[in-house]
Amino acid sequence: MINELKELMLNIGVEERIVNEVGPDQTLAGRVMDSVDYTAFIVAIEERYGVKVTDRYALKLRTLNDFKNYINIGVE
Amino acid sequence: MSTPNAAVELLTHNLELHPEKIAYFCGDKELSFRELDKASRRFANLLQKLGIAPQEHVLIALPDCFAFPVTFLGCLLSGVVAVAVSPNLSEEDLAYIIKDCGARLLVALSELAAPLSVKGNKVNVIVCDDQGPAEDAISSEDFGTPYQPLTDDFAYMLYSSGSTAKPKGVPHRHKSLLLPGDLVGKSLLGLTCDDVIFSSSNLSFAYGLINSLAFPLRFGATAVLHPGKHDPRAILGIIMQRKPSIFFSVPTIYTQIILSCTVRELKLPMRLCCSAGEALPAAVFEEWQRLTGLEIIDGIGSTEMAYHFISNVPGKALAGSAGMLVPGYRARLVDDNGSDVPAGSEGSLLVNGDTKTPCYWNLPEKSAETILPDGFIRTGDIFIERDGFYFYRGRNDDLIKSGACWVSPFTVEEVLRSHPAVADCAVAAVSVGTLNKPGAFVVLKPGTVHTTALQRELRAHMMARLPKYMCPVRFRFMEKLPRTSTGKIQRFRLREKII
Repeated sequence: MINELKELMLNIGVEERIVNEVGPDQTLAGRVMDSVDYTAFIVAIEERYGVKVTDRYALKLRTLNDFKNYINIGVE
Repeated sequence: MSTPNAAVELLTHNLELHPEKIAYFCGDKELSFRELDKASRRFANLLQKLGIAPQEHVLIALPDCFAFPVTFLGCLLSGVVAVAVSPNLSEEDLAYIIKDCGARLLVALSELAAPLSVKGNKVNVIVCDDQGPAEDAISSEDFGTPYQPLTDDFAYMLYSSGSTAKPKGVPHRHKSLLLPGDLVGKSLLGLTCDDVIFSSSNLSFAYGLINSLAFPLRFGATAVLHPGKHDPRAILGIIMQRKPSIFFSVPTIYTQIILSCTVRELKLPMRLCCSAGEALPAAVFEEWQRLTGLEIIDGIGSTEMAYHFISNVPGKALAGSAGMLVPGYRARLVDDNGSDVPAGSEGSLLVNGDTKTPCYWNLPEKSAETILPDGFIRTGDIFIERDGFYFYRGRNDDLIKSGACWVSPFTVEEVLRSHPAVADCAVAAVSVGTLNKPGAFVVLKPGTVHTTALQRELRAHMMARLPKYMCPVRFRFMEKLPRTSTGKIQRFRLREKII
């Protein structure tokens, strides 16, 4: 799923070099994605996986692994 | 009838009380109140030597650096109207604003690529460094008596995006710079000369102008200016270096700081954190409080009203609410017929107060549409009021507030329509959590298939042509768009409500 999430990052316009380098436990805010990217990423995840990311949970999703775990719980 | 010159009111008492105190930090540099006063008078002198008469317009397109307050206050001292705009405007938008306000002078960090003229007269450009215009040509000693404004004279003007593609000039009188100091700064926030103020919102916006110019000068506080990017690391770096007691920012920045934080608790030097620009989600308020122990004092204002008219109060902030009506202002929530809605019902917010603009510049029809005969201004926002607290529920027009900046759907649609695959499109607010963002609804040309590659291409197309905050966060593909019988797009049918 990490690769799928990276695919979504490319889809929303994050630079390929950055996407290739980002690790699953690396904090995304600031260095990898800015606020606009973050929002577009959340929207892309909601549409792809059919999960809803509320404000409360959005503030806890800092890394790709955080997103993966959230999606897995949501899908179950 | 005359009225106090805001620049005189803001500068003089500081010169008398603590002339050597630091008025502004910017990077590693400092500017004292004495130096600020001297540089402002030097600029006022330059304007007079250039023959810029009182009530003529000078355009200031500068980032947050010393040159901004110097040139802004210099304009006011000489009675010239300071028109403050973002330094990141395209040359096309800059040219539009210069012609709209008839500015004879542009103050910027660099020359224009192509010369401009207004009514046959060339627009001069004063190129500044971050300190202000070059010193050698002008002296502060030659500047005589500051301009004595009349009550109806304008002091400054800002430009605000509208639902059409062109921005609207919002002029303000001198009192609009002075009243927020008492109504909000003193009465609600308890600002004093011991405060150090850092606002991440730029001086060219109404919020940033009062935060970083009117408030610090009114109270003799020190302000921190940051001309660079608003990323969470840079902002936290400034906070740790300059230790502000008051931090003004927007929900997006608070969110990004929370998301970039890898520690469980964050010890910050502020006694107050304030937010405006768009509705602060309750979750952001609560998480910030958990992380830092600090409330975020959310409020709402507008360029038309110069600053906040609804605000939370320190110690009593309510998560998810924009706060209560600021004493001195009046508000109504009305239905489509203009009648007050029953208590607890959604209504369109009208507001009135002494800091309101009298008109939109050169737009009598738009002015009449927005500023009602009884003096109330239509904000375009929908609210619910409960027990005196106001809760934001969205817009009643097509404008979108994203990242605390206005997004005109027309501007975005024009760019989107220029992509060869797009036959038709509309842009409307979509909800992401409790915030609105621009969403694109696209009808593709016959034979064009919606693929991931096309979606990436559309996104890249938008990002190459528009500021990022204007770019749609979502593309939805449709067979056709909702339209009236006369063909007008019904964006309200696409708009998602905030729950």
